[in-house]
Amino acid sequence: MTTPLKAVVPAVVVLMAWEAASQWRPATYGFFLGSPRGILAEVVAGIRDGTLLRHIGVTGLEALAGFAIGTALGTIVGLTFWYSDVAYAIAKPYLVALGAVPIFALAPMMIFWFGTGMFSKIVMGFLSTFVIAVLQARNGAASADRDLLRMARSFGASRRDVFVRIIVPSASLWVLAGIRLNVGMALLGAFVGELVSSRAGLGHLIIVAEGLFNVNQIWIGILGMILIALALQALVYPAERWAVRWS
Amino acid sequence: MSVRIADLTFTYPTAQGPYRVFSPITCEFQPGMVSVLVGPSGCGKTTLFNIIAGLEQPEAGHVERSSERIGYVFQQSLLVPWLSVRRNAMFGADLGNLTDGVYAKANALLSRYGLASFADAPPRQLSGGMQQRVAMIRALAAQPKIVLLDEPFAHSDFAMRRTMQDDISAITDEEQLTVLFATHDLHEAAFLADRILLLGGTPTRIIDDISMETPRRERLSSAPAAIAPVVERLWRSFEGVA
Repeated sequence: MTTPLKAVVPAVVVLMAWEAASQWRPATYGFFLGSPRGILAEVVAGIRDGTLLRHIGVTGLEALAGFAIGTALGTIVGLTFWYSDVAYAIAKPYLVALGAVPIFALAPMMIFWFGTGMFSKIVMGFLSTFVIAVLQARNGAASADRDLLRMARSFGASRRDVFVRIIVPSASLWVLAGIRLNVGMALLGAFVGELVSSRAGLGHLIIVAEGLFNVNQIWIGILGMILIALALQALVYPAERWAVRWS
Repeated sequence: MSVRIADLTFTYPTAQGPYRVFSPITCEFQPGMVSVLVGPSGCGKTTLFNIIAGLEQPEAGHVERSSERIGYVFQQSLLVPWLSVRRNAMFGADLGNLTDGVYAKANALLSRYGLASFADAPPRQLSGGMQQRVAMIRALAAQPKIVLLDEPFAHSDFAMRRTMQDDISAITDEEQLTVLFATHDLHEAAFLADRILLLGGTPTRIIDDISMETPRRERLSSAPAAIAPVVERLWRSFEGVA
């Protein structure tokens, strides 16, 4: 048996045991755990009537937009701090304070300010990713090889030259680490926003399913989140390949 | 005058307090000449180069340069890891927005120094000696007027070392460059120099200043015997202060 096939064996065993347990005691195990067949039936129904894809699409779009805006703006701000240690010293306490606030605590205010639609979830995704992107980019810029900076300066490089040719590429591995973290953080931000108040999305699906004691639907919400996380990671992969090609 | 140093002093902060590197140093370096600085490790050769390149500020005294176009080959190659060998070779030229002719010259040097087949490779694929050759090309391709060479051949084999010594000599004459060359190697100093400054003592001062009698081209093309008396004199001078 090949290794990929062997890797599937534990999943098959767990699914079979799970299905058997839910069939054996539907009122207890079936109620509390759901069942693989029940999940499959709900997935098929959700795809047929389009609701599942809509929920996945809404959460995916919120997470993607929050991730892209938060990471891009945060990276630009963080790299720009290389120009001024004073500006960074002033901004750092605020950034650390913002980063320390649990995203759950901000959610009610974001919903209050921006409504229950997608925009408030995008803002949540943005807030979840921005600080990480700033700190990663700034630390990456600050960790550039001082000898390379000296070398560039010996050729008369301006600060802009040094920034473009040395600082930005030097920071790329740090920025990339931030991007990897932010994929999950953006998804968390969007999801938390949906849990607090929403009209669509996987968070909405889960909170409704919880009210109906529909465990199979909750499982579908979780699986949908995993699917979105994997898709976002796949989007990041080309950037990762580019950034590490020389290391 | 191409580089003039007047009453230069420099102090490093250390845990035991400030450490003064130089007694006030005064000297001049002329274009079309290879001036070799020899002295023991830690005597301040690299510090002096850094001050001339504007990377360090002296404690007192001043440095005058006839041009800001400096090609500096550091002890380490300091190649940019995310650029190809060719882009590294062009790094200084790119900063100076130099012409296509410069690129042709850099490409020719890549071939001459056995690097053509690595031109598109990242620097990590090169040996230490090859990386140092790229650093040399980078310095020369930037069309400098002043060239600072800080032990540039430390990792090179004897054949490549000789090729590069010849090239430095030729380009110094052709382009009237002011070349300052730091080395530990007294033979290399006596072989390549038009003038040798021996540094030593604590704080560092110029112990000896020798203008070579035999023309450089003659020494490079003929007998090593011509350099023996110079090496002997350098030893005696150095032992006098050691």
